[in-house]
Amino acid sequence: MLKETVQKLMADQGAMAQLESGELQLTGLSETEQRAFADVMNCRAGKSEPRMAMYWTA
Amino acid sequence: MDGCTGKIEQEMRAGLRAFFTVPYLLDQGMACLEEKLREALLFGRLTVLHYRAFGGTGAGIYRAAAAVEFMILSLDIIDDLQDKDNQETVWGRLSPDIALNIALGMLTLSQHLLLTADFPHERSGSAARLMNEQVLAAINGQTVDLLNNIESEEEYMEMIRLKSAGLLAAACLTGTLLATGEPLSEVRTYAEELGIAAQMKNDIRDVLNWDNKNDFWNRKKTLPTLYLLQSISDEQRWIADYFAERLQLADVVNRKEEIERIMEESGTLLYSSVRMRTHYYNYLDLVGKISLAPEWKEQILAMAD
Repeated sequence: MLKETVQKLMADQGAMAQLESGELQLTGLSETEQRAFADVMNCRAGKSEPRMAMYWTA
Repeated sequence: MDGCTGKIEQEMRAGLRAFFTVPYLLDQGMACLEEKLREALLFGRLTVLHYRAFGGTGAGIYRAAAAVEFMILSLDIIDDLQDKDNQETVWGRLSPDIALNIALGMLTLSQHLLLTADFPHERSGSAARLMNEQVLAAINGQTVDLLNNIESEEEYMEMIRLKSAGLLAAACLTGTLLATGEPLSEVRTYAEELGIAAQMKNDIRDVLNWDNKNDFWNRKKTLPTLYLLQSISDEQRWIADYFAERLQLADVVNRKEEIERIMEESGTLLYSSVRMRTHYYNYLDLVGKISLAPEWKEQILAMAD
C-alpha cells in the first residue's frame, strides 16, 4: 500500500501539495508508516538539496 | 559499560597473539584489527549491553564480545574480497589470498574465543550454535546478494533478514543467551528491525553517492533500485535496459543528473526513506515494550544513534 501511495502522490503534484499542507490525509498506511512518512516530509521541507534530507539523521 | 571497548580490544589482541603465530600473519592480522578499532565496535558492545541488561555480571562477556567482533570482521573482509571494493582498507591492500587467510583465521578464532569464554559449557555451546546458525544464514544471504538476481522486494527483504539483520541479531542474542540461557525472541525481533533499517540506510546512501561504489552503476538490486525499476515511465526504459545489460556503463555514465532527477520525481528516495524509518520506529517501539529497567532500554536505544 505504501508503494502505491507514493507512486500516486508522485504522479499527482496537486495531491502532494495537499498532503504537505495538511489538506490530504494518507489512508491505508499503518500508524508507524504514517509517522515515518510525516517525518520524512518534514525533513524535506526547507532543504536546498532534498535528496540529502532522506538520510536517517538529518 | 565504561571501558567496554578497551576490554573487548584486549581480548581481540590476546586472541591474535595466541593463535596467529606466523609473524607476517600476526602483523597483518593486527593491522586489520587496528583498522576495525577505528570504528565503535558496535556489535561487541551490543553483546555486552544485552548481557548486562539481562542480569549477567561476569567478565567473560568481553571474550564473547571479542568473538562476535572477529566474526563480523572476518565476514566484512570476505565480503570486500567478493565485491572487490574497499580497496583502501588494510585488507584491501593485501593480496587476496592473504586477506582470505586472515579472514578464515579470524572466523575460526571467533568460535574458539566463544567456546573458551568463562561461562558454563552448556551456555557457551549454545552461543556457539547460535552464532554458527547466523553465519550460515548470512552465507545464504550473501549468495543471493552475489547472484544479484532478486526481482522483488520480498526477495530483497529475505536476503537482508538472512544477512545484515541476522548478524546484528546474533550480537544481541549472544549477550542475552549468555546471561539467561535463552535466546529471547523479543530481542531477535527488535534487533532484526534495527538491522533492516541500517541496511536500507546503506542502500539509500549507495544510490546517492556517485564517488564510491554506486548501486546504480553496479546494477545492484536493492530497495531503491527495485522501486525505481517498477516506477519508470516508457521514456525512461533506458534505465531498465541498463540494468538488463542491453546498455553499457558508457551509454549512461553522463546521465547522472538525469538519474538523480528521476529518482527524486519517481518517489524512489521518498519511498526508501519511509521504509527505512518505519523499521527504525518499529525498533524503537519494540524496545520500549520489553521488560527491562528504563536505563537499560535507554542504552539499547542509544546504540542505534
